[in-house]
Amino acid sequence: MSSFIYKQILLIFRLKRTIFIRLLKQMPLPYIAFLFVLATVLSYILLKIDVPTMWKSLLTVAVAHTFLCSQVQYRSEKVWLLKQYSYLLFCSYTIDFVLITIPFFLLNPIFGITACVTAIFYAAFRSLLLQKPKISIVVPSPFFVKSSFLWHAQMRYLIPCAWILILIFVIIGHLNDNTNLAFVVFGGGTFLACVATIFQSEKLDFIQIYTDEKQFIKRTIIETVLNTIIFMLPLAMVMIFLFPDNQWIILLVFASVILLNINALWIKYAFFPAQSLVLVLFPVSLVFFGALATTIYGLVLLPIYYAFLFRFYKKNIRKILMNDERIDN
Amino acid sequence: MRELTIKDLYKSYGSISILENVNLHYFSGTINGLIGSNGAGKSTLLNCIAGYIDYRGTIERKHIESVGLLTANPYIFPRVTGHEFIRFALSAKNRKEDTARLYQLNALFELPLNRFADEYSVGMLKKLHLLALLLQDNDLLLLDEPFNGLDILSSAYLSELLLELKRQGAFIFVSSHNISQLIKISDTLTLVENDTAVMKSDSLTSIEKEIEENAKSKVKKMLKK
Repeated sequence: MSSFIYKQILLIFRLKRTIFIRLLKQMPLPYIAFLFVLATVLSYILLKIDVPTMWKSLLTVAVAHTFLCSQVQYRSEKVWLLKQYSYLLFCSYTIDFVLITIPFFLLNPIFGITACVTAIFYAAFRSLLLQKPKISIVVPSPFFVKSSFLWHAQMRYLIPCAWILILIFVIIGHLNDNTNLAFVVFGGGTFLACVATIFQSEKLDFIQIYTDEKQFIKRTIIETVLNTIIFMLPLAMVMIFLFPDNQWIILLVFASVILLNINALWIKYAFFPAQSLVLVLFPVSLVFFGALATTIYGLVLLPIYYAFLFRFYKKNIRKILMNDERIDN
Repeated sequence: MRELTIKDLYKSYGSISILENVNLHYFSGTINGLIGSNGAGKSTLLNCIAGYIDYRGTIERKHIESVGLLTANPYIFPRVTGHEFIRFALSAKNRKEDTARLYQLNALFELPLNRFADEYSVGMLKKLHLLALLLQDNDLLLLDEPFNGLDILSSAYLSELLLELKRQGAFIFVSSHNISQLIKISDTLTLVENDTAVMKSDSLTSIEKEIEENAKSKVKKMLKK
């Protein structure tokens, strides 16, 4: 049996390698150069970071790796195809999940081994996991406006859970007189919850139902801002009530999360449907934001950055809609 | 002889029941058609037979070791040629490539095997998957809407091919909305409707007439209102 699994791993690995090389060949050279530089810089940073090996850090690695792996989603048609062949779904998941262990290996080899073990277990779990039911019951979420996108609805269970957790941590922060904990969870938690929602992948059809780009732009911005406010406002009010001396910082965090969410939204659609590119460029934009925050020039550069991003975003949406019209004709 | 016995099969998605107390029995050397309205559970029944989804009840697969399933929307890997996909599908099932047979079958489907398969049309993609399944020599062949997206000539070829495979002893299930085409090739018809499945093996044409009569009376009733 083990030789058969090895054969299947080799088979799917060769296939993935072929696809990767061919996709790479199709990419413009500046993109490849940019990705190479980015990977080198990230690798260097990871190699330089020194994290002590403790059971806590190993547990964090396992949780972080599992979270990253859970973001790897196969289309149901792909799952059906791979399920037809013994162990192929497991092997495919294993290869993908083991690839995600590379940053952990760069950080610390023991972290890498921990992530590898998690990868194998999680791949086994995912391949045995049953298919999602075709008919899913839509439960309205109090955290989203009525006509929200379907990809918002996908997060209808996770978002309320995240909201409750943030609230609990804010209260714990207040009870322990730990303002830092409350602020980190309030800002970071809401930002992560909203960004995870925005980055949910949807089909091209969800854009192509719009008649023009103006309608799409208006709708997405309104929904992003509204959903962020609905999610954050009650938490912000609790924060102001518990930490009345820091109300200006709370308002600043509130405004920053809205700005960052708009940044996430525009980056997503500026390069849509190339999600892998978005997942690289979004962290880069965050680093850029961090750099801007350290200089007074950030006040000037930030609007310029947003103006450029909006232009790309608008252009890409128009391109998608125009292609759709061409298909219709 | 290969046999498939379904005993007390139950399948539900959450609280919504799809199949309830299904009892059926099939033999190899037959083409078994599956009909039913949209969402009635034809694909679910095929997936249960293949063993790819969980269910309550028993499905006995006697002398059936390999199952080939053609899904309604087949998947293709990006930037892989038709020929490479076939090679992959054969290796994954531990089968060797029979080039002569591949070209013999492809003479019927006329697929550009050296082109990237993600540039194929839906019909071509179905043909490619079908080609791979046929070359695999599976003990049981489950075809979910194989005629959808195929041109008239390819549909006719496929019907003839399935009949020829049946003569050679193949065990085939075909789900389709095209009842006339199914009646032409099927030995049995299983009607999947109202949470259950009933098999008919004689007077298959009467089913088509029954459906037509039913539709006529419904339209008349609606127009009278």
